[in-house]
This record gives sequence, C-alpha cells and structure tokens, in this order.
Amino acid sequence: MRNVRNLLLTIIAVILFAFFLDKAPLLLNGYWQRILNLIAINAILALSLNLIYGITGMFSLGHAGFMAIGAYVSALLVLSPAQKNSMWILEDIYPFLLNVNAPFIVSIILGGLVAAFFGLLVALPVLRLGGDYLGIATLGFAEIIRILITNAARLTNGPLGLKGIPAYTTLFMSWGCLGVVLLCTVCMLRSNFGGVLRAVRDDEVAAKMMGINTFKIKVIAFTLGCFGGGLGGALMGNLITTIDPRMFMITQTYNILMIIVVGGLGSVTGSIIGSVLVTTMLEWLRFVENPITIWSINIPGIPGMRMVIFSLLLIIVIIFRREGIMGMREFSWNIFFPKPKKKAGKSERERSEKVLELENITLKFGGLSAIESLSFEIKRGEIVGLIGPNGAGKTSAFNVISGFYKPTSGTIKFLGKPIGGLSPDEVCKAGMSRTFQNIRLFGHQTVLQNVMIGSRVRQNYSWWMTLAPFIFTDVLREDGEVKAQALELLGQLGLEEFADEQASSLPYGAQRRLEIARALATKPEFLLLDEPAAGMNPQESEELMNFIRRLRDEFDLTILLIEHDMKVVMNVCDYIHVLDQGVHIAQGTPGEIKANPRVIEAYLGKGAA
Amino acid sequence: MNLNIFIQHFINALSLGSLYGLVAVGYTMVYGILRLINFAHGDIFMLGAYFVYFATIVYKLNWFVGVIIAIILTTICGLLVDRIAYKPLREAPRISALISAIGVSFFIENFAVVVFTGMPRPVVQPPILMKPIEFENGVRLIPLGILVPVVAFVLVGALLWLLYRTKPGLAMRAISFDIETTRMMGVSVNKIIALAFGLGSALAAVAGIMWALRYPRVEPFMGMTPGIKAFIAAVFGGIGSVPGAMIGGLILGFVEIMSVAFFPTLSGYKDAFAFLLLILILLFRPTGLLGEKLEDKI
Amino acid sequence: MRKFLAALMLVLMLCAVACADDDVIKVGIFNCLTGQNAFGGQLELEGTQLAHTLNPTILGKKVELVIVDNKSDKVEAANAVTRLIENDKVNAIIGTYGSSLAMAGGEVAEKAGVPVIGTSCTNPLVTLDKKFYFRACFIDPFQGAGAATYAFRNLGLKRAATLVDMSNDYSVGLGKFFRDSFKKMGGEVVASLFYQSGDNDFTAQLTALIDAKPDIVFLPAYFAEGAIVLKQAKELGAEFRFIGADAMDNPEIVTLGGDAVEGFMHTTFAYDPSMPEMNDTAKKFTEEWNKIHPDKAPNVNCALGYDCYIMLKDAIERAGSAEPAKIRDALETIKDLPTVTGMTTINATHDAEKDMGIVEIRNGAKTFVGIVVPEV
Repeated sequence: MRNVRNLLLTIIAVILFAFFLDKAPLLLNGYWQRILNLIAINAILALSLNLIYGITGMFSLGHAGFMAIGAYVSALLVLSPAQKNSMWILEDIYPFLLNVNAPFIVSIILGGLVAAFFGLLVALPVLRLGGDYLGIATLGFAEIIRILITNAARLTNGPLGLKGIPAYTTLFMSWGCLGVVLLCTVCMLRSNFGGVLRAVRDDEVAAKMMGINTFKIKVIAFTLGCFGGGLGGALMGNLITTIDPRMFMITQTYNILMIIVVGGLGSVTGSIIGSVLVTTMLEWLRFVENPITIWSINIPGIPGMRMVIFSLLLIIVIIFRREGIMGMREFSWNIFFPKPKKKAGKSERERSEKVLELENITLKFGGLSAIESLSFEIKRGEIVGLIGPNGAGKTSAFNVISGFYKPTSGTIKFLGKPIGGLSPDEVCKAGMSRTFQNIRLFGHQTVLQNVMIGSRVRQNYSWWMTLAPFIFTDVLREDGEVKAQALELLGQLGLEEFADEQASSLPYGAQRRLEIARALATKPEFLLLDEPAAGMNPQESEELMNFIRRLRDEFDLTILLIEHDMKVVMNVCDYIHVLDQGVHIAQGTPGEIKANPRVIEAYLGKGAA
Repeated sequence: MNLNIFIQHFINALSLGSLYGLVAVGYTMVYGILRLINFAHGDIFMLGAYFVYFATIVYKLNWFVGVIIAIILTTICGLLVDRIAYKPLREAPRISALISAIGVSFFIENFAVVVFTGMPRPVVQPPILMKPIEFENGVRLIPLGILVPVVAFVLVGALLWLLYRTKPGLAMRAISFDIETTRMMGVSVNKIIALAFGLGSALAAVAGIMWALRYPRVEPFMGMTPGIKAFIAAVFGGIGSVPGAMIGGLILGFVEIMSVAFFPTLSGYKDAFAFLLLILILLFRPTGLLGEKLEDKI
Repeated sequence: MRKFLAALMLVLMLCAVACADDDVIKVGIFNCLTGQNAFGGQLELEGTQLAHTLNPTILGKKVELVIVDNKSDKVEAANAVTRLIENDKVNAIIGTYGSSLAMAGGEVAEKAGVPVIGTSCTNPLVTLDKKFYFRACFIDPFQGAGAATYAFRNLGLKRAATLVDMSNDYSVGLGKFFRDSFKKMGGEVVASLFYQSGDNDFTAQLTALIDAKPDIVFLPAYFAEGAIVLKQAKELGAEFRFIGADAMDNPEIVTLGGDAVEGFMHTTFAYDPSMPEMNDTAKKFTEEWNKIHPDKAPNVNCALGYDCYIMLKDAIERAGSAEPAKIRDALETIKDLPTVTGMTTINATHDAEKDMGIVEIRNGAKTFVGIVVPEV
C-alpha cells in the first residue's frame, strides 16, 4: 500500500517537473535555463562520484579525467566532417575520424561507455590500493589522460580544443539523463546489492567473510561511476559547445567532491541538493562583484569577492554541518506520513562427516611463527573450543581457516575439499562463516540490512539487473525472499525489535548476536565464533551458553569457538584444543583438559601445577 | 649526451628535486599526525613568497630581515588556518577536513587575487647567489643552485633530529601512532598538533622563499602546481615519512629533468612519466617507498 | 540566517528591476578577472574602463559598462555571457583574454545575436563560422609568421628552435606557425621542445637547446614564464637569442627578468609607450593612462582593451543605433579606423588586420624597433 502510494507520488512529481521543464522557456530566461542545465549535469557527476566514494568508499580524485574522455568521444562523434576539416589547423586529423558520426544520444552513451572502459582499465591495477593512495593514483591517471589528450593532436586537436559542438544538451536532455541515472542508482542502492556496496565501505574484512568478492564489487562500482563521469562530461561538452584539455583539471574534480560532501557523502538526495546549492550559489553570488548601492552609499564591485565569499561559506558549512546537509539520509515520501507497522521460509544441505581437517598448518610472519604445525579435525555437529593464553595464535588460526591468511605450509580441508588457497569470500561460499573479536558490523546500515548483506552470497541475480529491477523482476522477488528470511532469522535471535535501527546504535550484547545472525544469513555449515562472551556479565554469558547450543541444534551447525571465559568453554564445548605460543599443546574433553598439567602450566606459568 | 651535459642536468635535477622535497615534508608532517591531506599547503607556500616580496620590495627591508619576518608571518597564517578551519573538525570524518582544506585553498588563492592582484611580482635575488661559476668542462652552476639542496637537507636533518631526539618530537610521533592513547599519557595533543602545523608552515615558507629565489616571480596561483607535485612526492616516498618525502621529491625532480634530457622529443609527456612512475611504485609498494605497511587488523 | 538570505535575495531582485532603462547603451565586459589568467584580464579591463571614462556617451546616450568575471574557466565564461545577454540585456560585449574562454562565450552570443569584440583571443578558431564574433587582434598564424620573418629576413638567422607550452593553445599554435614559415623561407628548425603550464624549471629543456646550437629560439610564452626562461637561460650561459610574441609584452618583464631579458625581442601590436611616432589615438591613450596609473606603463593588453571600445563606438556611431544586429553590420565594415594599435580593418574572417610591431629590450627598457610585414 505504502509502496503504491510512494510510487504514485513519485510519478506525479516527475510529471509535474516535466511539465515545468516544458514550460521553462516561458518562465525562465536563457541564463536560468543554462543554470538549470548545469545543475542536472553536476548532479549526474556528483551521483557518479558519490557511487564511487560515498557509497563504496573508494577515494577517487580522477573524475575529471573520465569526464574528459566522455566529452571528447561525444564531441568527435557529433561534429560534422566540414567542421572537423576546418578545425585541425595544427596537424591533420586522422582520416578515419573525419567521417565518423553518430546521433547525439548514441554519442553520449558511447562517451560514457568509453570512459567506463578506461575506468575498468584503471580499476584493475589500482583498486588494490587503499585510502589516500588510491586517491593519488586515480589523480595520476586523470592527469595522464589529460596529457595524452593534449599531445594526441591528430585525434583531439591538442590544446586548441574543439568548438562548434552542436548545443544538443537541452533541458529535457540533461534532466532526462539525470532521471535515468537517478532511477538506476536508486534501484540499485535499494536492492540487496546496494547494501553490499555500502558493506564494502563500512567494513571490507567483514564483507569478505559474508562471501563477497570485494575487489569485484569495487571494480563494478568504479566502472559504473566512470560511466557517469563520461556521460556528464559528454553532456557538459554539448552544453558549452567547446572543450579543451584544460577544462578537466583537478579543480574540476574538487568541485564535484565539494558538491557531494556539502550534500552529504553517501546520500543520493544529498548529491542532488548539493549540486543545486553549489551551482546556484556560485552564480547568485555574482552580485557581490557588481556595484551595490545601499542607502545611497556606493560600494564599487570588487572582482574576485565572489570566490572569496564562496570559499568562506564552504568552510562554514563544513565546520557547522560536517556530515553535509543530508548526512547519509535519503529523501522519502514517508516523512510526510505517519509510520505504519509491518510483518515476516527454510533450507537443506548435504552431509559429510568431517567438517574441518587441519594438517601441519604453519604460519610465519617474517621469522616468527604464529602457528607451528597445527593438526586437528572437527566432526559434524560438534562444538569445539580453541583456548590458550594471549598470543597463543588462536585468532591467527581463525584467520588461516577463514582464508584471510595463507598458511606458510600445511593443508586445510573443509567438507573434504582443500581450501588452502581460497580467499575469504570463496571460503564463505563453500559454507563457512565467522564473527570477529572486535565486532565488525556495517555500522551505518540497519540491522535488517546487515543480515540481508549476509544473504547476498546465496542470491542468483547479477548486479546489473539491479539497475532496472522493474524489467528484471528476479531482483525484487529474491530481495523479498531474502528480506523475509532475514526477518525470520532476527526473530529467532530475538533481534526483531531492532530491525530498522542502525547497527552501531545497538547495545553490546545485541551487536554480538547481530554479528552471529549476519554470519548465519550466509547459510553456513560451519561457524567460527571469536570470543563471543567478551565483555559479557555472568548472567549474559549464561544466556550465551544456551544460545550457542541452540544455534547448533536449530541451524544444524558445527561450531569452533575461541573463548577466554573458561566457564563458557567448559560448559558448552564437546571437545577442546589448547594452543600456547603457536604450539598445539593439548586436546581432549573438558574434563581431560581441566586435569592436564601442561595446560595449567601454560596459563599460570611453570610450577603452578 | 655527453658527460658534461649529464652533470648539468644532474645539478638542475638536484635543485628542483630538493625544492619539491621541502614542500613535500610539510605535507607529510601534517598527514602523519592528522591523516589530513592539507590541500592548502601550496597556498601557504605562496603566502610565504608574497611576504618576502612585500618585505623586501615594497617595504625595502634588508633581505635577511625580510625572510625572517616572512617565515614568522607564514607560520602565523598556518596556525590560524589550523585553528579556524581544521581544529573544529578533529573528530569529524576525514573527508570533512579535506573539503575544509579545499575551501581554505580556494579562499587564500582568491583572497590573493583580490588583494595582491593577478599580476606576477618580481623577487629580489641577492647578487652573490646568482654569480655563475663556470667549470673547465663547460658545466655552469650558480651558488643558489647549491644553496637550495643544502638548505633543504639541513632543514630536513634538523626536523629529523627534532622528531627523534626531543620530547615534542616524541609526542608528535606518538600522536601519529595513536592519538587517543597519547592524550591519556597527559600530552597536550592540541599543542603538539599546532606545533606540527607551525613547523609545516614554516617549512612551507622556507620552501616558498627558496622557490621564489630560484624561479623569481610570485603570483597568486604559484602554489598550485608545486603543491600537487609535492603531494605526489610525499606519496611517492610514503606519506607520513619525513625522509620519504625528501626522497620522493628528489625522485620527482630527477624524473622531470631526466625525461626531458634523454627524450627531448617527448618533453610534452614529461608529467605523464612522473605520474606513471608514481602509479607503478604504488602498485609494487602500495604505501610508497618508506611508508609503513599498514596491516588491516582482524 | 534564513532571514538574512531572504533579505539579500530581495535586494538583488530590486536591483534587477531598477536596471531597465532605455536611454542607456549597455556594454558587457566578460573577462578573466580572477583565476589563472587574471593578470591579463585585469589589464584589459583597465584599458576598456579608460576608454569609457574618456567617451562616456555614444550617440548622446550614456554608456554603462556591465562587468562580469569568467574566472578563467570555460563553464563560467559561457555563464557570464549568458548573464550579460539575458539578465543585463547588453547591446554589445567586449572580451576576453584567453581564446578558449572566448570560444565558450562566443557560442552563446552567436545564438542570441549579440556582437562581441574579442580583446586578445588570437586562436584562429575563435571567429571561425561566427557571424557575431570580431576581434581587435590579429591571429596566431600571422604572428608566428611575423616572428619567423623578422628572425630570418631582418636578422639573417638560419637555425631556429622553439620552446612551447604544450598545454596552451596560443603557445602551441604560434610555435607551429613559426616553424612552418621559418622552414618555408629556407631556414632550419633544429629543435622543438615543450613544457607544461605551471612549470618553473626549464633547465632541462634549455640544456637540450644549448646542445642543439640554434641561432634563435622562438618562445611563445606568457611574460611571467618567459622571464623565468630567460633568466635560467642566462644562468646556463645560453648564447642564442630569444624571440617571443605579444603575450611577452608587459613592462613587468624587465622587473621580473632583470638583466637576463636584455636583447630579448618579441612581436606585438604596433603600440608601445616607447614608440617615437604615435597616432593621435595612441598619444591620447598614453597620456590619459599615465594620469590614472602613474606607477605603471601601459602595455598592449591595456591598448587592446581600449581599442575594443573605440571600435564599438565607431560601429555604433556609423550604424546610428545601438541595436545589436546593426552594431554587428557596422563592425563588419570597420576600415582604417585609427586605434591605439594602429589602423584597424576588419577582414572577412572578422579578424583585425593591423600592423605588427617588433619590440626589443634595450638598456632595461622596452624599445619599439619597427614594423614587420610577415611573409605568410
């Protein structure tokens, strides 16, 4: 009901806006029409950079380069042969280029696609970098692109630039493109795939453990963003009607970055508001450069004052509203209506007796061995404890089993198959999941979304379908199923009341349970729990013991847990392995371990036994 | 290319590289402590050069007095920028501070255009530094060409001494390692950060002055290109590492000069070579040459 | 805050309403008053403003200048011209320094049918296919040929090289046209090197040039960069001479370059305050300029800014109307109009045909050497 209402409201708003655009030439003069055009183009650019940076968390400073590619591709395709002939006065144009022509729409889409192709080429090597290093590497690529355009005079007319590009960018064109981009972005971000993008931003490590190939996700987001950059650049070229390499310097990227941060990093609505605000503000502030008369006092115009005031306003906005105007929030029709209430499937798998087999696992960092030839097996349905004093190598063992570290030597078999060289996401797909010692939730997303991201690995639809879910209805159906399952899971773990809350706002114990719920959403057979009782009071750890047993029975799991709380370990585990300084010093039932002198020695020091 | 010409190029490269290095050190200091790319650094550098112009040419002060006044004024500007635009954002997401830095950069540049006008201004070059020395084999150099790297190395050496041999230096390194723990230790974090900004700005001033001596003109946008180049140099060397910044600057200087020297017909692609090398280095050493390897703790 | 903004908006609207007046001729100026090219745009604006002060009325109507900054940015340039035409309803426009900015603005003016006179946008593409764009300057091919002619014919130099700003259309264009005509006349081009805008260290290029042993190096740079190049050439002991173009024309080059610029030559428009014989327009301009700006000498940018206004005045007077279309028609027929930079004639491609001067720095001062006739 609510969705139908919102859809109707959206359609009405779009129709009203289209009507406004149709009548714009009557209402607004050419100047304001141009600003309206710029707003749409800036919004496309902002949305695309926001997808890369705000949503997926990749710091890119290369947008101007991709704009340049889009602008040049489109311009070369729409210019007439006669125009090309007269413009290449430095060097002759490549003959094949002379007669290449395409309609405007085709040219801007090709502009976007070529930019996306270059984006892909850049992404494959560069996205392995993180943080600011990624920023500088993308900046480097953008500059290289610009230098190549400047030098390739036969192709691009070099520094002279191109002019006389037909002014095809009309209001309907720019806003139409924005509409399509906006629709695709919103659909994608609302699907579970959108949640995955944000998960990569919030916590790449945890995302890997949810079975997500984070590198692939980043490449997809980056390439899509570059498409947007190219499209925006192409529209820009056809609006200004002339382009040259100097249009696409780093300051161009700064401008877009400014828009998305002022609007709110990670918010689609914010990008739109940001581009409206920044674009109009820059033009509106021109009045400070004109002579002003206030109460018959003449103040002469000072050229340059506009940018001084603009930069001051920018600093003030950032200082007083650091998360931007929208923060990470989005616009929704629901803000005009009171909040209604809402409501809430199963699975099977094959059998194998031995779930995990470790054989002579050794892990070395430099010369130090964190684990030395560790061997053990875990049988189906067991709850096994891994204990040992601090620095014993327990978490290292977890990281080896779950694929974060490659063992220096030894073999690991999971469900009878070797998984030694697999990455965490592949391990997860094979049916293993884990939690982390220092809880790693996707903090900026709701509890429900966190669990749904866990289910992404078991979904069948491809990422590109999310751009048009109304055509590829699998997206909607699968997301619906996953949502129902996630709600059920939350119900089973007693988290249903928090479903719409931000994960980071949950109480500590609930966060621990949510992390487990998220791990369960990947439908694992084998669950690794890293210190589930850390930070719990005696009563809470009592509940935890029951919870772990329930987990095994209800979800048909095998569990390996690291725990310092001996009461929990002794009560809940069927079998226990003890590590000390990377060496496997003992194993047995809780009773045997309690009586083992070597264990007591390891914990309390020599002579304690 | 014969050996003499190579030596000539080598000297030129050393001089340009050490200037990049000096600017890069300022970037790296602020980055090391606050994880902030101070995009306004190039503009602080520009202010330094302008202050010398005003002191020596407009107010006709003695050159050395002018330089000292310029360094002091630039340092004050750097501290003001930190106090007004960055300090309120210490707890904010890093991107907010970054945008604030871009805002500051826009502000300083446009303020300079309004107040100083866009006209490039001359710089006093003490004649003693400019008298060419000619060697028998045809290599020529001017004392300034030697002075620039010497000053750069001495300053970086002094900075390293400060970082590794003094209490405030220790505190600075501690902050870059873990700001919260350092606060617990009773270190006045804000004072130390201000000190870092002050030092960074003073270095920017020195770099600006040396730059203006070597390339004698000052104009409102003179900080832009050196700013970006020095930022690249800092990343080259491993951002956060002081010796790294210097090495990065030198490498960049050498790539720029030598690419033109060896491939004069490709001199239009000079900057592309520098960026390509940067990207390659990052691919093989994702945290720069001397950057610490950051292990993601799981 | 909100109230304050609302109040500002109101003031702005009132301002816009109050500005409609029939007995005023509105002349829009779009130029780069901020941003990278601010130094050139500011000088041209001062030239135009001087012309306006001296000729405040045309056809008995008051002339009002509407000044809009284009921030040395293409998008802003197009916005600025749109604003002048749509909001301020100007009759004609003057501007700008920087050809790429002129191209962005020109498209808008073309569509609206408002004539524009370009100050110093010398890229041939600016007026290409444009009915409403004119300029007070000659174009790059002409000037490149001029420098080559002077070097080859007048100075008798046979080996030339070029040092060009790769990222600047002006520089690249001039460099190419210089090389072409120098070769055509029978000279040899021994090296062609590049740098990028924003570079400050040219020692590598200069060392390579010294190695190539040219007689003369053509340096189509902006004066601030050019002065640095000349300084470094002197430091390195370069023995060849340099010749530049009109962008080197600025008295500041001597303060920036000191004794390193001694003997440097450049082509320029036929105006320099050092000219022995000036026409009346140039005389008047020089005198009045010195009255207002006693501390700085005028250069060609100031002169061209002035000339644009003179051309506009002539066109409006001959058209007998300030209607944009009529101004355009009259601009097209400007012939032998005395301007500061000599006699101006607008040719079929809307470029100004005028004499080209050669200036040399002698004894620390710009000295006007004479006129050169390029062999195109």
